[in-house]
Amino acid sequence: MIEFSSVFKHYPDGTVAVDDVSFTVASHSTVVLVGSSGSGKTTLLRMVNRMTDPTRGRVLIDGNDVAEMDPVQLRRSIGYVLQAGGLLPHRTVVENIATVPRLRGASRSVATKRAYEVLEIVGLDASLGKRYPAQLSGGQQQRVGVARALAGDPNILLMDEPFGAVDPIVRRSLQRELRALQQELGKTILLVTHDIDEAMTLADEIIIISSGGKLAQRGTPTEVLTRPADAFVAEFVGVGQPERRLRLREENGVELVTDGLGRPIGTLDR
Amino acid sequence: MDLIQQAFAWLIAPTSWIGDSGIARRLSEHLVFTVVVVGVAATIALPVGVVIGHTRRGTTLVSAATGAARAMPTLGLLTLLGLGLGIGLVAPAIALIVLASPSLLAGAYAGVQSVDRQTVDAARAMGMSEPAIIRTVELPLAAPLILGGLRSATLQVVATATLAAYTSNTGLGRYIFAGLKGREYAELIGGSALIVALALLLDGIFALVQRVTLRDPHRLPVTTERHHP
Amino acid sequence: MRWLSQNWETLLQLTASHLALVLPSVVLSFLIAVPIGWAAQRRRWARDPALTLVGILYAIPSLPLFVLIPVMFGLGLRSAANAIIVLTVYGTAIMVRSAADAFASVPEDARLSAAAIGHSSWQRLWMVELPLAIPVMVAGLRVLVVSTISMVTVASVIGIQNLGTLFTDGFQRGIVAEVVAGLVVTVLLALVLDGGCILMARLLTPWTVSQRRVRGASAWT
Ligand SMILES: Nc1ncnc2c1ncn2[C@@H]1O[C@H](COP(=O)(O)OP(=O)(O)OP(=O)(O)O)[C@@H](O)[C@H]1O
Ligand SMILES: [Mg+2]
Repeated sequence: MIEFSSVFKHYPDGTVAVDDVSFTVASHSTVVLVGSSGSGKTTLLRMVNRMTDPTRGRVLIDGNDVAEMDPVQLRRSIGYVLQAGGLLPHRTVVENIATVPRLRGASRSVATKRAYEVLEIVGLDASLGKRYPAQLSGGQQQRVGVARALAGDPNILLMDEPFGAVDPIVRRSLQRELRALQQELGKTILLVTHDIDEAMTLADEIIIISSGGKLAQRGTPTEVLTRPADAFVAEFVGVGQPERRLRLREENGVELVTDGLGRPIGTLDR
Repeated sequence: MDLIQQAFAWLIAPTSWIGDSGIARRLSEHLVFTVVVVGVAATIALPVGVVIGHTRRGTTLVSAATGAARAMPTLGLLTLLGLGLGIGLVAPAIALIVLASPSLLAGAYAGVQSVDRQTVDAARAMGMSEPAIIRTVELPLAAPLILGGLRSATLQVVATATLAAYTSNTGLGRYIFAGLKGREYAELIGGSALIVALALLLDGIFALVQRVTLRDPHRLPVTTERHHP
Repeated sequence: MRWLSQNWETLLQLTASHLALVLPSVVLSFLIAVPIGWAAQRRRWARDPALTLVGILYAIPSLPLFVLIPVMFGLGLRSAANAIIVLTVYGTAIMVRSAADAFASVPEDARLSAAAIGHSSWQRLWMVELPLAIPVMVAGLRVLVVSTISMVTVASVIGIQNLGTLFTDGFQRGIVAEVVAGLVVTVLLALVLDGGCILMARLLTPWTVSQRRVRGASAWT
């Protein structure tokens, strides 16, 4: 379990990136942080592995304050996935994935073996292992990023806009795979996105951050959609907007679902 | 320390400053030579660099020229031309023009080439002629790098003009060669110090000019390379 | 050609003295400049003073320096140490800027993700920043090597033996072939060592070669 307890982050230039935020991420659940650009999502995420330290407040993992842990050891125990994978361009795929086991002292052969295992878990062919990141497609790079995060078998995965750099179709399939993977592995995942649809797809619980780094609402996707806490949340999740006001009409003997403007979305599955 | 005192004494002695090989005469020779050489080199190299930057044709010429200038030993070129053309000022002038041109060429080329293509496109779309684009858009935006090239070339020529005294009777470099030959250490060290001071002064003036004229913080710092002996 | 056939032993000897001045200077410049360049890039307060100092050093003409350094350090005018110090001053001036640029060229993404997955700061420097800085660093090293090879010839006018001696000797005795031979060999030496640098970079940075081969693959942004 990850617990944020009244954390603040003030940068020296006066920016207030996070303003009194508290929430918890239950073990084995997926919590998604959404909010507009610059609202402090990345800052919050980075507090978990101490890439950033809060100005005030505490972040606890299973009851232990991360401020008391050695940052380097802490980071080796937490998986971290960045946009575009954050791969090291001068290491092959397998070397990238094997990095964390190696840093933890595993022998080269053990680390490589582990790397090929996770490569398979994320659905990549072993033949890609010897390539450099630049020789992969965006979607493949992203998968390698996830594989690298999984290689140390961490309990916690932090993901910062992990699918932000790939096209919508690939993003959809990566989201699906992440859900399947999560069902199988049961990690504790904290994920950042500014795509509300992605949040709805992946989250057990959504945390909406408004600009200025304030927590606007937390709840399940159903809760935020049906009971938005305020106008900002309603606007952000699109309540009342034509895109979210689905309608049903019959067309050629099929029950067609459309958005508020009448554009077809799909068919009804009774 | 004794040597340094002697050199200092030589530098401040009024007799050192006057006469045919006095400091005043040598200093002005050095400066005039530098200005003429940089002027001629700029007249040739800047337009070429601007055209290459504008058309983006002939970029290999720029890198070949800068590479060759860097690898070419100045002293070798000076002595070769000296043997061919005699010990006048012509040989060192040609050698220095050849060696100074690449910095100017590269500065002009890099400056014009660094201008955002969209800006140039927009100017063209508004109906500006190519010369007008160069004059009103590219040159002003390229000014920092052109000035940087000019600074490199000037410093390079000031330095190389010293060496030119090896093959001809001109400039502050004479103090070094005459001093070496006649074991006149005061002259040797004093002359060397003068040259260093002159180079630093010129560099400082350029730095000041660049700071005053190019106060725009969005412009890139000037980093054209130069090569000098 | 006749000059060459009669004097090839001198030529070899001078080439050897040339290298004996160039190689230590290049190595020293590199070892001094890389840490300074790193600090100039990573410590904001160090950047401006370091780069300004380096610019000033570089503005000093070399011939007077060959005279002033021995006076300041109490060295012999014609000693190898004098030449090596002067060349190292210029070499460092050239290399500090390149090294700073090289460390600046390391993608921020790579630095961040290296830290995020648990590299300590030393590990990040050795395992991530240094390797990724190699391509730009080598570009600077090439300029350093070629400039040093050419600049050392100036030292021959104060009597330090190297390939430049062919220029002074040829000029004084009026032998054009000797000067030409000096020019050709100096430039050839520069080309060979430059080629060596390129080769070394290829071997040290296999990932850039593969990027060249696979042009279509998405680039690092
Ligand atoms: N080192 C820093 N110094 C000063 N301000 C910073 C620093 N890092 C981030 N900020 C500011 O803190 C705020 C929050 O930044 P953060 O990166 O957490 O936003 P975000 O929600 O992740 O945005 P995005 O969706 O664009 O990634 C922003 O206003 C940002 O400009
Ligand atoms: Mg962010």
